[in-house]
Amino acid sequence: MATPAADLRSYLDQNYPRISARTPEGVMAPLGGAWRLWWRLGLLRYLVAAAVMIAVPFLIEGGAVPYLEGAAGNTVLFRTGIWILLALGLGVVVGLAGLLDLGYIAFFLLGAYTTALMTNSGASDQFHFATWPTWAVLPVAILVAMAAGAALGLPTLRLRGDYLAIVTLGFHEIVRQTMNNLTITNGSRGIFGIPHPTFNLFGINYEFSLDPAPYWWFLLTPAILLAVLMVRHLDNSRVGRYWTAIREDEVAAAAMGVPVTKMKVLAFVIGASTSGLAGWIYAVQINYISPNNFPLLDSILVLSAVVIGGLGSISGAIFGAVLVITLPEFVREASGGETILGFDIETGRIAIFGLLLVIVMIFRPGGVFAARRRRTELHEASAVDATLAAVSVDESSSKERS
Amino acid sequence: MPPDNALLELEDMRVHYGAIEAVKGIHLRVEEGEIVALIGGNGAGKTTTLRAISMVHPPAGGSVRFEGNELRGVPSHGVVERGIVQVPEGRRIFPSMSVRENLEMGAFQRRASRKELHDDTRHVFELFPVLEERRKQAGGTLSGGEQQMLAIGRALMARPKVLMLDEPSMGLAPQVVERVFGVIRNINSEGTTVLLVEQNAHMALQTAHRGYVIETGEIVLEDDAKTLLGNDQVRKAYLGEE
Repeated sequence: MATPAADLRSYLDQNYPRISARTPEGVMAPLGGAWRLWWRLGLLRYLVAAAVMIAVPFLIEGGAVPYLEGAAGNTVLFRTGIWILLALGLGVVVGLAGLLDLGYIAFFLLGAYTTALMTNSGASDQFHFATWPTWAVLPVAILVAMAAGAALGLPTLRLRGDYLAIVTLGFHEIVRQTMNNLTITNGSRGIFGIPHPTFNLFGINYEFSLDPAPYWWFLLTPAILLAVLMVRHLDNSRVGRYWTAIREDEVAAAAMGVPVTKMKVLAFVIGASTSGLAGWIYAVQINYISPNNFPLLDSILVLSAVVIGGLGSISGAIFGAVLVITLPEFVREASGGETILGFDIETGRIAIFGLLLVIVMIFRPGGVFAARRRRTELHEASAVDATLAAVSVDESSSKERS
Repeated sequence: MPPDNALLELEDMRVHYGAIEAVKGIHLRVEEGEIVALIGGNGAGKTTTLRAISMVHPPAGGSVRFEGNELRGVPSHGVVERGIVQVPEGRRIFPSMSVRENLEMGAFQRRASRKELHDDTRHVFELFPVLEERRKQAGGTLSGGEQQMLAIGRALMARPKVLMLDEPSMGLAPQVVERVFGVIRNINSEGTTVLLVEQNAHMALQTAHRGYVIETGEIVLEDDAKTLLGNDQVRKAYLGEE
């Protein structure tokens, strides 16, 4: 995710040589100009991105997006925003630090439940830790998710790969079942009446409510941009380099003095932070949560979003999240209740991801927006295997000689 | 030699893998400015000893003293900060990082300034000119010998007081092995103490000042490297001579 070269042509040569070869200079020149301008904007890029994002709900309301119109469109947009936050956070854990986490939605759940239990929600006999104003709970929700990240990270430090995946999977179910069985969380009935936030600043007065009006998206926009800013800068920092080192070779990283333990826990903590934030926004928007809103399937879906988009890539995480949320909606709307061979397309829409994942893994193993490093790692894996094979042949032949 | 000027000293160090005792109470000293070779066959406990010193796999008993201070209980990154840096077996460079980035990894833990980073990188490039030619290339695309040089260069970036090398000759062509050991001698003459673990006993003992022979977790011989080279037992067991 390092800053691409200022020159579009050399960027394409490095990353997409086939596209570069097919693009004539006449097309490239103006594009290259725009590209240079974009990178020269520095942090102003985030303002441009904000402007584009803010325009999206208006496009939806204007009917510019097929199948997604009006209120339904805004609901999908809201869910997409939440999932972008989730995918960005999980991208840190899986994509940057290389820790396979199959229970990521547990942090999202904890952010949402923290919000519910610290605001004036539920029936009159509902338990609360506090009844704070909605906004005041926001940092608490993030901190609780981060603490849970550390709580999961610390005991699982010695696990790798599949083993870590299984423990994190269990973690999700443990957290969900705990919420399902505790009295203070109202068990499977969940908690309703989580108060919406109000906005009263600069003479602008908003009473947020359940309606899928675009202002929820305006709340998500800065959250997403902040998350992008955070992940981007972490990736380009000492910490990011440490994560790369741990991901590529933990033993070598330790030998070089990388504080492996600290860095792994940090990845879990940072990764969990965006889901805590997402949990808060989700809870205060939908204002009713129950354990059923956080199924295990979602943990798997958010992982597929990150993998399809491209591990270690920010644009990949965003793309994956958008795809995972909007594609089923498009399919649902487009199918109009049709069936194929007696098979309901609408219910089978999740199966699309299985198919999609297989196709992406065959044609672009690094994901749609594969990060440069990840691609080298995939290539090197095969190169290293070849070298090892050659070495072992050497050794066996020298043994024969002696 | 007076016993108090040992830079690194192992006393009765034991290392366990579960119930198995891989290193059975060894004594080993490394004086400042020395090259010490630890030689032995497969599974003798050479790598285990290094991993114990660097606290990647901490010892179960005995003591590891560096500059007079006990290292047991220090985390592995703390050991690197104190100045003991290991070049792991099989090189283990970071494949997707460029040569330059790999070198920078070595200097990260001591929070080197930009100038130090530049100077130290220059120094490594002087020792290994081939790395400068390949500075932008991904580490994984280097040849075995180049990767070994990169791994040593990366360790040097940490400005070690003691450089620990685990099987630097492994998988390398004889000519490349000569070159690597030449560089090890150069590094030592610049003042870095070296602890070397090798199966290639001949090369190791030619390079080192002193040597230890380890067999099934115990030190069985300890002497000047030259004397060990002439020792009948060593010649038979490790140098393949009759």
